[in-house]
Amino acid sequence: MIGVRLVLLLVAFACGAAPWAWSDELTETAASFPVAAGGHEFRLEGLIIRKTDAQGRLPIALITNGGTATATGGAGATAAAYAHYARDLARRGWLAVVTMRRGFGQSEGPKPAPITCQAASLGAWASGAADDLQATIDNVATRPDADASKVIVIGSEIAGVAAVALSARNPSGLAGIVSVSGGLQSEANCPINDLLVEAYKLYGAKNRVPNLWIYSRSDKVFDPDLAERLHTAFLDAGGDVKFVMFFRDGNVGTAVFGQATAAWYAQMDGFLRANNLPTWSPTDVWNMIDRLKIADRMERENLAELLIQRYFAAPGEKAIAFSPTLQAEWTRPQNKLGAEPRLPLTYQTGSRSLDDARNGALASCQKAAQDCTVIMENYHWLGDIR
Amino acid sequence: MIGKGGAPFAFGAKIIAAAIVLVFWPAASTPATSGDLIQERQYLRVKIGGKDVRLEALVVKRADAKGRLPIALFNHGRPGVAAMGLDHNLFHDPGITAIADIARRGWLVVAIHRRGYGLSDGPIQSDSPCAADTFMAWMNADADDIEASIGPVTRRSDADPTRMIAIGESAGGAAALALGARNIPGLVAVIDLAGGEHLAGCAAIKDSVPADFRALGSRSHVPNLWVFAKNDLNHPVD
Repeated sequence: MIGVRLVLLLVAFACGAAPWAWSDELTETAASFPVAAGGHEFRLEGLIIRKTDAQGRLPIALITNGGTATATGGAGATAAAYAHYARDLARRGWLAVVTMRRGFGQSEGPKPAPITCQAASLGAWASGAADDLQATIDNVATRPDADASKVIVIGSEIAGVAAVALSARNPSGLAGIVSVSGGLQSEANCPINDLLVEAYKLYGAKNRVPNLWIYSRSDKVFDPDLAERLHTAFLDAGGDVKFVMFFRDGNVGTAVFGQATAAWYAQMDGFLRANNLPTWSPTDVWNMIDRLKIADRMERENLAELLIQRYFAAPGEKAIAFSPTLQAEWTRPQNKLGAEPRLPLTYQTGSRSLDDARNGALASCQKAAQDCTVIMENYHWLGDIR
Repeated sequence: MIGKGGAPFAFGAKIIAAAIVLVFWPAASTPATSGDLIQERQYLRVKIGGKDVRLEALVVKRADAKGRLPIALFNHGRPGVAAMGLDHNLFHDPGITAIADIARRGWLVVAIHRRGYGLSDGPIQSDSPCAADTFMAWMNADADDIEASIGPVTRRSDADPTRMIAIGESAGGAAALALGARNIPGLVAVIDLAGGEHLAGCAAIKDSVPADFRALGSRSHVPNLWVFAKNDLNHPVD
């Protein structure tokens, strides 16, 4: 399945920017973004995903390749590998853009020079990476469906550092960045933590754009001591950062971006709302509970808790199935106790296709009841249930 | 590693509040109270367990206040849906009326968002799993945040650090009790409005509340006022 998608994306890339509908609700378009550097122009591999039926200009969410600790790592990265994150952002109302920095994926240009033990080397890498991000934003801003006054940038590990470096330039329209497990190591086998801390001090001194940093206490690559040092340096210099160190939910080590996606999405969603940027909202959750006609306060709160944690923040294609029989069982008082309250509905998240999600949600519902229907697809309510 | 085996987070850790900078809120604040009060939204830089933490705070006082005011540390409760803590807003907190009323009585009211709420750092610290010591761990984790906020507050030129009260509702009230048991210099009273913790489906904590409160009571030398209601579903009177 993944292989098929990859081939399709590569074909699309080869054929130019022909848009096609991936599912019934998202449009995915291969794109390329020119970036000028050293008197040359390079074209960066990109992918743009948006809701097919979205009206007007959409805010821009830019994701760039990361997931590696070194500037030259992640050589096999492709834009397609980031498509599912972009889809999750597109469903939240963004014009979601993936950009592959120079030398990665199908992007032109040389790979960055390995980071040596010198500050200048780190500075040059970060500056080049931020240039690629800025060039992508400038390019996307010219689209008639883009609202360049609201831009966020998201990256993990080295891409988190690139996002922080960009946020120190305070480019017009940049409304926030999310750095997940942000950090960088040298290829030269010398410790550069001190250099990175110094760099973050400089970024913090210039930064005015809200940052959200997410780390895991069990991270062995960018360990909590380094994360705390980066945090202190950035704050001391005057930077604006909300710092989240996972110790229970999401505490999966360096792999938070890919393996604790729902946990950092939940943090990102809160950060977006606090900064008046689009995503799903608690009101959506209460509306859904209203539509299920659940009136009891404890039932409503239990259901909201579980829906937020397991459905609304969750990645991938998702769907909810509902059965009046299941709901009737759930609302019986004797079924309300227990450490893990059951739900009056079933759901499936993290699916590769909406069909999979639908079928999965229905199948689990049908194990317990005959009267199951799909009531929600992704964030889309399908209609009244009775 | 923390959160497993019932090891309470930051329990017993010495909390040092130090090196504090007040960072101005980047956006203009929205007045939620009427013109007789001044309110500031700001971030407090604090240290908790030796680590830098940024807490979101709302500071309210009378517009005509002069000199140093006694400090009321106001502590919000835990929302019915814990996952909505990130959306907690001090201006929309049910306590905003109480915050204004205390300020009108001549206090410098400081309401913080504890870790995990609003734009304060995160995640929520009172999050250890179901165990016999869960409530004590939660109350202490929450009290850590309040204690850490005292440093930057007492350094304000309009604050009188010799006269402080801690007031809180629900989980915030329980946190204020736990703070009271630490006998903080200058903390002269604790007011607990329907203070307590509850964790649905956790049988292990069944007997812990009386024991926890006994332990806190044995250490506390600060006068407490507890206000509960007979019809409180979360914290039944008995």
